[in-house]
Amino acid sequence: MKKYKKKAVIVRSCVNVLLPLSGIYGCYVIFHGNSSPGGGFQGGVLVAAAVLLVYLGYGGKALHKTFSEHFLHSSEAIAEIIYVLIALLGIFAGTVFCFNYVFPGHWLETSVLMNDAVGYHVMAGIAGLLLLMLSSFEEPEAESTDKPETAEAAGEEGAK
Amino acid sequence: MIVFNYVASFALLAIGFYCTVTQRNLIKICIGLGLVDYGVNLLIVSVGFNAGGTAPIWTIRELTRQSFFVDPIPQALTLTSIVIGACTTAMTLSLIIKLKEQYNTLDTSEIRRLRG
Amino acid sequence: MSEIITQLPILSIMTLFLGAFVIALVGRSDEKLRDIILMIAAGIPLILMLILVKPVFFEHQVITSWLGGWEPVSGWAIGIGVEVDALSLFFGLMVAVMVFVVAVYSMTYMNRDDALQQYYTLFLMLSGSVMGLVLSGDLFNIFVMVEIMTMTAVALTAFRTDYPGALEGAMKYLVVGSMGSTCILTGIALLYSQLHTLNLAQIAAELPKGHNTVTAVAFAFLFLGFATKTYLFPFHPPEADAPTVAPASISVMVSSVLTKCGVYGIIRLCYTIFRYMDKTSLQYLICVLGALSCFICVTMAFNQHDFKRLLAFHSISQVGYVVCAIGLGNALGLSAGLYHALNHTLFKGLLFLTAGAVYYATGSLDLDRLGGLSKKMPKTCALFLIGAASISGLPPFNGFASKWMIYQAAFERAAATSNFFFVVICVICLLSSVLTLASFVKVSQSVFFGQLSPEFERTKEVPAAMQIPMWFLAVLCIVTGVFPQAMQKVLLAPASADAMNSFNYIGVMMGTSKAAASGVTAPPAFSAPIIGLWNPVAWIILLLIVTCAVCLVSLTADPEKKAAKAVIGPARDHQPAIALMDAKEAKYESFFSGEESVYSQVGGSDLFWGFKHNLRHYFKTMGDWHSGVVNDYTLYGLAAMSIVIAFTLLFIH
Repeated sequence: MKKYKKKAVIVRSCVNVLLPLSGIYGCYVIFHGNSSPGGGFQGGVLVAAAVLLVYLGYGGKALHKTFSEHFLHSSEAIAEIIYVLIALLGIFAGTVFCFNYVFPGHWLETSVLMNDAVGYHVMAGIAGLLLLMLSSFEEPEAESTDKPETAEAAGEEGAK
Repeated sequence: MIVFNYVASFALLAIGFYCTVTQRNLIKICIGLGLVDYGVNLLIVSVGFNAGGTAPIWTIRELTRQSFFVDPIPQALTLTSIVIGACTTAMTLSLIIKLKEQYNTLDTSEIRRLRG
Repeated sequence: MSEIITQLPILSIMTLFLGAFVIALVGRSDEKLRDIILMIAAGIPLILMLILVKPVFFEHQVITSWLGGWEPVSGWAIGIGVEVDALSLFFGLMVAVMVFVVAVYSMTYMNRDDALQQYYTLFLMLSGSVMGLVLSGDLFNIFVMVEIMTMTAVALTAFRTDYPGALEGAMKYLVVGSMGSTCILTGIALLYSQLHTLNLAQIAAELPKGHNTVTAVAFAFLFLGFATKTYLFPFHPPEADAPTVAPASISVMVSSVLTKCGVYGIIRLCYTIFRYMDKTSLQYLICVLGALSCFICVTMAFNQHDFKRLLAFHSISQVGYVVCAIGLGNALGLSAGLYHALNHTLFKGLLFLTAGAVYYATGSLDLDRLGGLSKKMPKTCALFLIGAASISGLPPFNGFASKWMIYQAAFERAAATSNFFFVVICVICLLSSVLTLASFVKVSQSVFFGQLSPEFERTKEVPAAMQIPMWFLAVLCIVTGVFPQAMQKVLLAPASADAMNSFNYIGVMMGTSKAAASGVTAPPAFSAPIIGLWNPVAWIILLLIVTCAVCLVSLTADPEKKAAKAVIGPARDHQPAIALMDAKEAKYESFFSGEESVYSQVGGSDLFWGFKHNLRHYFKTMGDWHSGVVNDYTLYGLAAMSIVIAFTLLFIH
């Protein structure tokens, strides 16, 4: 791991270029998901790729400075709540669940909003997932001293 | 040509199940589960395929009786099942990481405290 | 366009999910708020389900709704439908009650753990997915719900990561569970390729015309998928592992609620959609699977040293009963299966909750260490005895009523077809019931009676907040047992009538003309089958008389022998916990007390040592089969898959 700590200039420059691009492209895919291929999930994953790019270009420390896990979790919950509430609007308006209400004289309809909520959710969710997975790579070096004991105990239990 | 897809999907299923049955390494079992998922996804996409059809993106004005496109529902299903498969894989991998910490092994024949 | 009542099923599903998300957002900081949200989220579905009881069970309506208002176009379903008939609502009610009980119980039981907002988020998502599964009318939605169910159940099983074996149990559950999900998805793909629809009602309508080899294979895959989710015989080992290591509240969900989803799937599949139940070969298949899980798991329970693992094996065995009854294929069998499913949910929930209470109070679930807790935890002990009496089928508790119904259904079936096979099934069920009783004598002996180990000297009764849910379940156990005729009239007859009436199922969803055109015929008017003429009160009086007689005989035994024993019997410092263990009754000592010097009663696993010794080869083989290696479990599953698919192609198609 140590060998790669100093990030290469090429990777960092590429990341600098790609980072805004992937973000904007992802947002484009999310917001146009209702009328073109793509949609919330695909766009959300594209945006969440920013986590990987930051990790590649700047390393784990920068990653934790940039993204807050707590914020991502909260965003995820907020997006889910928004989605469910929009879907429930139909029931409260006296029609059916998930009813697609088209605002008169406007391009906006509830399915677009639901699509955006999905995009927000996937963005936060995948970013949080990547963050968790990447931070689990760093742990073993920090606490490798007390591991063998428990492992042996576990092995004994298993063998029994 | 679509027959190849069916053969391939059942081959993937078979390889995946073979992997989960014979491989003792948890990571390989995880890969096996993934292969099974891909096999089923391929099956669903092939089910909805119409030879010569276009992508199922139409607005209501363009749509006529003559429009010929592939079935969009299996594609939506595949997308959903890919997402679910990704979640399963993430779940399996995180469990494997924790198991490795506790048991210090990935060998299934050693991870057997619960038995009998 | 739609009355509010058609939206109630969806509301009950979404309340659970919304509660989960809100807890994920605010549950971290404020515990009071979190508990309030939990209560609201778990309470509203229960209320909504109770509101639906009147129209569905009494007025025989079927509640349907199309999501987003996408109604069928020229007899072709284009949207996602929700269809709640009496069968769905029967399971929905069960789920809602259990979710509420478990939520109340968790608030106290889990208070020593941290990261509880995650626990409650996952728990409510699990509940929502189970609710969605039983109320949905769309095959793909069922698959999605099954996946959410499996994933959350796995995460919750591993919630106490430091509990020995928790991760391992979760891993096995995950691997075998995803095999089941794969089966369901493959079945859906094959079915879609032939019928081009995912709506359950429309599939039922298209099948008479579109029936071919591929749909038969699809049936086999779907059946296998639901059998995996029921954790029937070859798929059962993870179902024994996961409740063992999960927190007790989750053990309840996994073993008494999640298995019912599989049962629901099998009923829906075999009775309503494919209507294969009149084929004797399918009856054989389901009955054999049920009988095997019934018998093998009850014998496996004899070898267990862990309280919850023993209960888990019994759980599979009782689900085996349910599946046996369903496989009989007559109306009484289906009613009996539903009745036992309900009862199993109640008493197994109660038993797991008492196990959780024991763990909460003592910190141990080892049958060889525990003992004599009846003095310290009398109320938990009473609750456990109610649950044990229910599961082993003692009158007047509910297990007796439903088991009686199963035996009656089996004999009726055997008489109607003059087929000896169903008699064999009935005998296996009876035998398993006896073994269940024996096994629960062992558990009560090794946990609640016998000697109290000094280790548990300072055990206290669990708080009232944990006892209230248990008492609630115990009362339900008795109520459902004492009024079987009312249960049959109100709940079971409508549910089984709706399960067998695919004409109505199609007609309500897709329009009556579609149903008439499909070639599905309306079944003859459903006459509620008569349960055998028995009176639970009379049985309990008989039981009391017999008990009194036994006590009388043993108390007035030969006085000379008693005196002799008293001399021979060792001097005792520690009186055993149960009062009837007079020193003069030393002849029972070898059964009740074990060796004096060490604080061991007859070990949890040794009460039936003679029986076990005689059958040691069988027990050894079984122990070897449950090897704990996940590859073996997938191999059993794969073998079962190949056998069932081949069987379907050869005999059912």
